[in-house]
Amino acid sequence: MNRENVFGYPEPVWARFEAPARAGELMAAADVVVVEAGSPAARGRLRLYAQLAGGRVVDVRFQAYGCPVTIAVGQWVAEQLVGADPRVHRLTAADLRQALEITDDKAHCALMGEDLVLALVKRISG
Amino acid sequence: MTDALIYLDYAATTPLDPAVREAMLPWLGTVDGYGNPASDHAPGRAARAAVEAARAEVAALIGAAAEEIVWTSGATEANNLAIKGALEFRGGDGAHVISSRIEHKAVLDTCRYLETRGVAVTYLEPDRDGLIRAGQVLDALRPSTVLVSLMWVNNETGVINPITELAPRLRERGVLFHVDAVQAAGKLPIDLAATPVDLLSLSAHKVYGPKGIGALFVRKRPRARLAPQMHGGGHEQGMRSGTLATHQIVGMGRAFALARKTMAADAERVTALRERLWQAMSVLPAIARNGSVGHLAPHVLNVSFAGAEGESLRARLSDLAVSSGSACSSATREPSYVLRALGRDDETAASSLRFSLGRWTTPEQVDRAAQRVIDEVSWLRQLAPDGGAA
Repeated sequence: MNRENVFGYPEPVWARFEAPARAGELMAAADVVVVEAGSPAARGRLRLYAQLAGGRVVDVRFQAYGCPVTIAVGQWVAEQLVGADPRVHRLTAADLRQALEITDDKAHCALMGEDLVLALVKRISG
Repeated sequence: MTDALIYLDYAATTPLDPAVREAMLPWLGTVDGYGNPASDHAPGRAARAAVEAARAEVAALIGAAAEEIVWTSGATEANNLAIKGALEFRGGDGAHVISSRIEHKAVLDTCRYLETRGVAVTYLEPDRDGLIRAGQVLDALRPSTVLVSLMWVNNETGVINPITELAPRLRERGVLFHVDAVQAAGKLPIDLAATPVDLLSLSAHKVYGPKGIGALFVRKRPRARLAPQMHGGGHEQGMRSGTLATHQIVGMGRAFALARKTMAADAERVTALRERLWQAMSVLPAIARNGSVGHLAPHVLNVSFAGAEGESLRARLSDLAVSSGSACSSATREPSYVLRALGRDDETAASSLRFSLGRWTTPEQVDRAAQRVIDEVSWLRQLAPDGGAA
């Protein structure tokens, strides 16, 4: 199904919202951690499943409840984390805003993405 | 409009019926049809005759007399003229008006304006099913109440208010009754010969007529008195000055004449399609219909899809033209105030869609729309943590 971007979302957002390749979850396992971040004002929620090996993310999936930008943020964070050590490769809201061309009125979605990465770093750093 | 797009937003506006367009075209011509209906020569008289024939057609659909129809630019102007005009004529100071929280903004904002001019306004609360009861209105009356303004059919839920029950009760108490009938005209039988409403607003473009033209019914006996809101050449019995738009008026007349012929059959067909849509979508768990099912106009179905975020649902359903309760779909960026007045929280209001059906809606479109909604709601719920449960 080819959906039209009728409402004019930025192209990097639309592509990920339309077909978020990393949507889903990982089976619970000793090497899989699950972290969450939310935006109470916008009622958005992101959940990340990361399979770790020596501090590196070897596989990742995400779940999202929220607007198209929230879903795109989940997908982008998941893309960036594969093969990375999030403690070294720190992703920030500014990175997200630039990569996804997120406008001011959706800045809270980028912050939610940063919170998600911070939650993962905290969990790995234990 | 692409072939793939399914238009289910007839409550927002309707396509112009080809027969209406045909009727309008001669009045846009350069050879004849351009006369000013107020001019006293052959082209002027021809235009005036067309305007008066259209006036009679509009009146006939609602059981009124032709001289009780005042042309306006649309229902917003009709609502403004009715409410501000009535209050200004009577003197607004110390006056009381009753309306409801679920009126169209053209009524609500006019009432709010009147409040700044010293008028007291009571905004009645609907019940959870979107109904305003006649008893609520009567209980809210005060000795100073001069006007009640209620919509016949709510534009978001399709719920029918008890206008026929209420009108005689207000008449016997000497309170003016204004009804915004934009979503009722052409959908439900309206007989103002039997229903003592004093003022009633109409729009052409919700009834397969052109945009930019509407009318206000102003009762002659007993006479509803209004102060004009548009001053000028004294057109429309002094109630609304401005050169009449012959082509628009002819279009509205033809649209209302068509509605009179097809209303009963349209209502039956559209009601059946609406229920077909609801039944097809009902395979989805955790969905809820908004609006009292026993009091619905034929054309509206409003459904909340818990767990499917409103803005994403709207974006993924870009091949359906429907109205969303999501904040992002409205000019004001606030979730539907109508659904919130029914007690829905912001999130539920935002995850709601209004489907409105009409003359060219087909069973195939309904089935395809239902499947698209099922697919996308399921997709969003599956994507959400815990299936979208809060």
